[in-house]
Amino acid sequence: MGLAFAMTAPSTAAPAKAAALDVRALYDAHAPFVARVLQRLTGPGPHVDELLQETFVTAWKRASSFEGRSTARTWLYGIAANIARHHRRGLARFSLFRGKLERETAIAAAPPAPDEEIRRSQDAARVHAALAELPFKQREAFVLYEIEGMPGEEIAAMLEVPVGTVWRRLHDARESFKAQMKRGEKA
Amino acid sequence: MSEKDLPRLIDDPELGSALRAARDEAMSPERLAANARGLDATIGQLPPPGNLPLGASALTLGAVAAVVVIARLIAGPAIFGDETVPAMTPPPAETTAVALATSDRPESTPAIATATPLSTLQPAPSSSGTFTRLMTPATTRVPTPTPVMGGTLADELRLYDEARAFVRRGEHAAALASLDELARRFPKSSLAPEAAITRAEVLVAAGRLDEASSLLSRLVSEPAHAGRRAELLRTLGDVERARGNCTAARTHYRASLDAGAAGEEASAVRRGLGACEAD
Repeated sequence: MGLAFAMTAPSTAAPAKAAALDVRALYDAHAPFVARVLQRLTGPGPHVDELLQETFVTAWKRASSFEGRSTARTWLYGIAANIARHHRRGLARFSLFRGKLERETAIAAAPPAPDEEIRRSQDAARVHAALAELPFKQREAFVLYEIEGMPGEEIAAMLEVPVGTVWRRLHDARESFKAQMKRGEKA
Repeated sequence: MSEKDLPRLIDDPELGSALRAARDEAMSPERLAANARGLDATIGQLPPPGNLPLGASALTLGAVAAVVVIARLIAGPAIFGDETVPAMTPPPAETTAVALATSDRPESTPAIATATPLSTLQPAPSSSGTFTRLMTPATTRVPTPTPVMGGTLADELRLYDEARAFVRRGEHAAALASLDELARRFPKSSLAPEAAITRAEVLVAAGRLDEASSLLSRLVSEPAHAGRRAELLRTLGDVERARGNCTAARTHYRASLDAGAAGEEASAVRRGLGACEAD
């Protein structure tokens, strides 16, 4: 691809100088993580592809702002979260709704899936529905801690907040999440 | 897990299985590869980062295309059938909130989904210098088949797409004509909020600042645009500043902050305020 930057292997270590950033190498290394996070922050759906590409286009544009003070993953997360934050809640819910319909349609049209697979799909859908109800900052903390399994300190660095703030957001998020999941069970 | 960390819900007997199901969802390698191709295509069409007009201020409007794609997806008869289209169309307020983003931070533009890459619109020169870059370095989507559509929505989208195409080419009069036709033929179009924003974009790009000011002043008070009020107010401030009316500009900038302008939007407001102080 015709990128302006020289190739440098990315890592989760502090990125090298901006001028040596290669966005495609960054993509290869971090796109799965970024895609997962975007999907969990905004709900599943075709929009995730757009947001994913937008994240890396932005990284490419902003390479010069890359100061190496954070890891590549943290830097990319910041970009992705900003994009996800502006991917409005209404659309997130709508995508969720649409994704649910698509899943149901696919399930109806496809050969019968094993019960376990169906159950897991339904479970994941319930989680997405519950996440969609959380305020964005709580959702971030919850996704990174509970689903991505990241340590609190790393999340704090990623979100640029004290770790206590992470725990507070997580606490609030858990309360809401549990309540939403209970409602989901009854529905 | 660090010993400083809390026990995780994923280990909880009640909620753990659902969280693990969500955790195990991942984008397939094929989908990641398709996005890599889209990324390549997009970046290949953009100027080198050093040449991007960062720091200019304005509305970012290309994300409107997301609404178009969503509407197309909704209308896809393969899944939903035409009869379901009206009921599934998101309400205008939410649609609008999705569609618009701020120009000073194109990186925060929400999903831009269009088969045709959007280009950056260069503003018309204004008497008080450049203040606005309307839209939007955009993400090029890997081409996907366009769902077959029928009926009113298809015609609305055709006119709207036509207007956007004229905007991209800088053909302001033609863009306004398409928007006029859209409004005339479909006065209750669900795309009306996006069309109104596009009209504002065209007016600013064409240097018709009086009309842009009038339109933006109306849009900021409309519920359909509530989700973007801070951005619209900031843009209105830019317009007023370009018109040489810093008193009004300051009012709009402050209102933008009051309306929740944050991050780079807030930075743009501060730059505008600073420019007014310098004038």
